[in-house]
Amino acid sequence: MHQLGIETTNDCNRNCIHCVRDKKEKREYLPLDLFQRIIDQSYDLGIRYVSLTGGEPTLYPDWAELLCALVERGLKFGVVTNGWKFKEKTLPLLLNPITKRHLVTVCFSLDGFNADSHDFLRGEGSFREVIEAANLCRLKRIPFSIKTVVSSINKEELTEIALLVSALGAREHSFISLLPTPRLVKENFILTPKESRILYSFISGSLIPSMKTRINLEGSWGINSALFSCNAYQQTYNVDYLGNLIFCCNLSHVSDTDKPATALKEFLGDLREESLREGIIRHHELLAQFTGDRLKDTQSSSELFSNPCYWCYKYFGKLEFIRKYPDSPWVKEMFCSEVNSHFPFSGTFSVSLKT
Amino acid sequence: MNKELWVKCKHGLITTSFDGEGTVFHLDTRKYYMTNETAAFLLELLKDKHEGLALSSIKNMLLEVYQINDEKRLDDGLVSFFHDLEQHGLGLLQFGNGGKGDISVRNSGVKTKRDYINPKIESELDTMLVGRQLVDLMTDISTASLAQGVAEIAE
Repeated sequence: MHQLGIETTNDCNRNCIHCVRDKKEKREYLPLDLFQRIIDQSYDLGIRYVSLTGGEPTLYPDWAELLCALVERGLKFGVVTNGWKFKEKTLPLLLNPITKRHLVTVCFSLDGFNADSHDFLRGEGSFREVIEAANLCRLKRIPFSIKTVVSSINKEELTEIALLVSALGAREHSFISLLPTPRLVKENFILTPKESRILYSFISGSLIPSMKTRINLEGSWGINSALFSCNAYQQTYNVDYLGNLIFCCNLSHVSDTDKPATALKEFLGDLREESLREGIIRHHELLAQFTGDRLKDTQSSSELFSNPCYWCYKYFGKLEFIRKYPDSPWVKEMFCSEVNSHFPFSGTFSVSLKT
Repeated sequence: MNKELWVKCKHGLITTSFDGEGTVFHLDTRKYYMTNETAAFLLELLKDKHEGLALSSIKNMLLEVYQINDEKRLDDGLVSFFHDLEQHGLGLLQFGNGGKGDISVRNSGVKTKRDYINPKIESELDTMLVGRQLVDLMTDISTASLAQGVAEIAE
């Protein structure tokens, strides 16, 4: 089923050290009338689910009106939040019986199993805030899930985090690998290729079978196929806080260039001036080209190929910066093909996984 | 030595309340509890009070919020409630000021809830402790409702 992902704002109350966004960007909010136009168009196209993200979406000045607009149109929705003022701002809205019927899930960000590790990444008090919010959801029978960004900081804690998430009563738990930006590479926050392999093997082989909570690996870690399936762009149409349709939410406003979003390869349309339908047509044209290019790619290393988000980042020109960091283990993986190219489906990766 | 009763929540408790209900999550044991309004109120009072609070202070704060006529029953209810918290590993009930050198009520030989209530009621409470989750326990024996419960049993 297709869905719409909408970044309501790039504003955020937190200053997470592993954030991929440029924090110097001007804080902006998707205009409410544009939001309403977009969801009207999406409904006409048969889209019935909208995921609200950010930034921190609950900072949106007309937050209640935003939810009301979705419910009035009969759209199901989900919210991705860090738990900011959940009890005061969001919970009362979600407890409205009609709104609650349309809510699919509240997704909280949880990156540590205790305050020390989570607050180190996301700021003081953030752990308590998110646990309180999850507990309130459980108390009021509001479906919730957890998303954990895996970085070099919390890579040793995944079992503890999964146990905590299970004890909290979350419906789903997703692990997503931290994506590289110049700052994150420089400060060694991203996983090395070897760590990524080991953790993929651990999560898929040990955590998923043993935890009662359903666990997902977002971004399809460790895939060993040209035809990988990624929900972020194959089933979701992504709108940024400026009203641009973007190929993937993970590509939105991640850039080390000064080019505007509209000049980047992932840009599909300005919904202030164009219809969602036109943008979606371009989405599928780019998707066809993208899939073809991936199938034709005989240059990328198997490591890069088996980390789809990294492959996408390279495809969309967001990894050139990494050449500036010759000590990064990813440099060899990204650019080894320039000296020793090979087709990535030789089986070497799957062998290394089993060992 | 100050012989006043002090109470405090154990480290690692995350408590919150909303609309007359509350929750307690114990990070160490990963156990989740639901509470009624009064228990939530008491736990909120103790939130972030690392030194704890004197039982007399808690009582005064309760008296400001709730209309309670029988203060003796309130005393009994409070001691019972915090003793139960202690039994579930969620709280500490001590004589002193919450700092070093405090004596646990359980080991002090001084009065605990078992001395405050008659054996008939004790037996009833023991059954509740064994057979119910804290969610029920707190509902049944939190301050005002405990006072009511004691009265019913005694009659």
